[in-house]
Amino acid sequence: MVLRGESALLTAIIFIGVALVIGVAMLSYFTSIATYYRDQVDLSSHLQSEASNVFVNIISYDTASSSLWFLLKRTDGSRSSFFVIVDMGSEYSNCSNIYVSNPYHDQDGILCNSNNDCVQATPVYRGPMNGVYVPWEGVIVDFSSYAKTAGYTLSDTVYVCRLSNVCEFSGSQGLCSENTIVKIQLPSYAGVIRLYTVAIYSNKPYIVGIYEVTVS
Amino acid sequence: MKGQGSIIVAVVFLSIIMVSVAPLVLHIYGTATNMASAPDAPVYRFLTLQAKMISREIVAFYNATDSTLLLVNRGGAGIKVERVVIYADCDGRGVYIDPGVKDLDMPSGLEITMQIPLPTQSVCGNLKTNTLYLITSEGLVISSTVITYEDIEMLSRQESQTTTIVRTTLPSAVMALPFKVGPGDNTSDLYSLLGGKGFEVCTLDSMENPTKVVSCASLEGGMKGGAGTGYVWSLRRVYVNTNINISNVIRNLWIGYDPRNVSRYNIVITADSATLATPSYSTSSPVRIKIYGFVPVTPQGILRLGGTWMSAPDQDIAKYTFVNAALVLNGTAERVEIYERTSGNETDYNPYIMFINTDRSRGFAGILFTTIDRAWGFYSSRNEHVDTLLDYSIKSLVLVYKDYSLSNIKYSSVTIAVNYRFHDNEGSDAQGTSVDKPIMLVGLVDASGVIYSYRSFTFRELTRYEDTYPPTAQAQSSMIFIPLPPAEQGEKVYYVFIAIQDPYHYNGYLDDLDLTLYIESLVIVPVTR
Repeated sequence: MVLRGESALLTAIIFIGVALVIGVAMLSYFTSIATYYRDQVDLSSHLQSEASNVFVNIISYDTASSSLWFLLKRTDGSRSSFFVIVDMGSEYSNCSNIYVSNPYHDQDGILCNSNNDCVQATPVYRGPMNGVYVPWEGVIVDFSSYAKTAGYTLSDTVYVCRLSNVCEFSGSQGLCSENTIVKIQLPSYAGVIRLYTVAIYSNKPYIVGIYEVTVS
Repeated sequence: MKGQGSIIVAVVFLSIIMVSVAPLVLHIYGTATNMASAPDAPVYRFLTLQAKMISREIVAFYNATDSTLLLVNRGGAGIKVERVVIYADCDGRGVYIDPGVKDLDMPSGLEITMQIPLPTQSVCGNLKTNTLYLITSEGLVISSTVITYEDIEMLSRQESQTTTIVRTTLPSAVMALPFKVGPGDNTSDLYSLLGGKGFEVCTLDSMENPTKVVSCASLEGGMKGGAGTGYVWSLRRVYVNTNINISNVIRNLWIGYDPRNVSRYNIVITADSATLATPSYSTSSPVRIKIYGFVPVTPQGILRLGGTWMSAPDQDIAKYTFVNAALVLNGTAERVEIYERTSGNETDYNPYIMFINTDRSRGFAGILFTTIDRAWGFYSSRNEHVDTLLDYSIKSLVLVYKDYSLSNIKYSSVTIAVNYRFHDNEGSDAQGTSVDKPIMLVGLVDASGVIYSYRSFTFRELTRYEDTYPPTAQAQSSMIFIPLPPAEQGEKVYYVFIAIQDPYHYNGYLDDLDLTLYIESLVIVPVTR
């Protein structure tokens, strides 16, 4: 008699246990899927916002000194820095060849003629091309594969350079829409220059924009 | 009731499944459907240097001669120029200049003219602006056309040359004189000014029968004075941006519009002595005063000679020669040079030359050359009355117009048109000279300096069209036709030159004349093959 009632209870406990185990397993499974998707969404929206917020325009190319001048602008009004990779046609430019004009330190009116009126770019990544990523065809691929497919320059070392936003120099707060003027010192043989705008996410560089200019 | 326990357990089990799993599934499903699409490929754009985003609605015109920027916005919406960047040459080195122009609002439908401040000479020597970029707050880069006076001259030439191509039988004309000058040009030194206007300043190997143009870029001196003992015009004082107040009896006056600004005047005065109130200066020696950029403060006129106020310069440049009257002149001047007659050996042509124009055509400079200082005479008297004031050339002043070359492959011949006025102080005209000598020569010289052909204008020809007193310098015009060698002889390149001089020294009372020559224009009309 007693055993009959115990068996039903046992069955109920087993059922409930199984249900809980299945529930917890599904919960953790779906949670991990959701986290992964959320990460992808965040990455995607970050890359898209960087791609649409960073505006690049060329100013001039001085053939005498082989220097390329262009402007960078954040259309969202933020004061954060710009990240770029410069492809000089056969190799990637070192960050020491890239300068940002600081008009607040310019005393004589001539841009980049003294030490403090132009700020050198700082490297944030220096290493093989497969450490840089490109969103392409719905997936994230490494820059090396992308460059190989697109026929861009392949090199052992690529430099991602941080360029200060001119808004950082002004000392004021709030939204800022100033244009940052950038000078790139190129080798005299430069022909096609590609400027890649880069977004950093989770400490990894992603290419979000490519600008190409022929200077020869 | 039997079996109900199992049903209850099944219901509880299903409830737990439904409560724990179904919302999760729904949540995940919702998240997945709301999820943005996978990241896009990078935005790819080509930038070309040609596509400088020159907006048709926004026209920027930069005048490099006086650093003014004209902005015209016809776009229907205001623009805000955030920064201006200039690409310029400093001592031949390319630099980018930020003139510090910030946040310039440009409403639609308006024109704005503004001065662009440029670096000082110590920072950027021999600044030459190449391009000016306007960077708007939206990041638009507007490349501005930089215009110099040379560009304007070149454009007008190209237009006329285009006409030549279309209508090959018609020649095109190139104006060498008068040349355009701008506010930045220094008109007080004829050598540097002419050098900057396409001329090479040289001399001739012979003043009377020249075969070569020589001493280009190294011409020194050229003018002497006196009969026996040498006398010259020595520069004694230079005043810049000064008030000027003269009330003095003078002998002669030549006046024209300042070619850089026709609301001002350039004046040359000669007097036997001078006492100036402002700037304070006094001398008992003969003086020559050159006044650049004179602006009168007298409402009655520019200046007063005797009892008559002058309202405008006269096209007859000799009109105020031998006036011998009290001059009243009061105003400001950009520059005043005072020359005194002193004993000396030789000077350059600067004391004798002034760039003026005699009609109000803005910005064009003709060349006034005068050696007259005091009075006129006859074959039986000293023209200047005193020996010390006689002036004469020992080297011709030759201006070779290097901005335009004539190749015999392209052109079959050339016609040179010269307009000029002449006046002298020899009352006996031809009778007052023992020999006829050239005053002006116009012709062609090749690249090595050998003269190909020229037409000379001698004193006895020129003096027929002037009246010494009452002083009258009639407008004269000559067309000089010079055929070029046949193209079969190989290419030869020629340049037009004009030479001026006062070749008369003295020979007793003969040949002691001084003269005034005003070159109004020198136009080259090549005839294409």
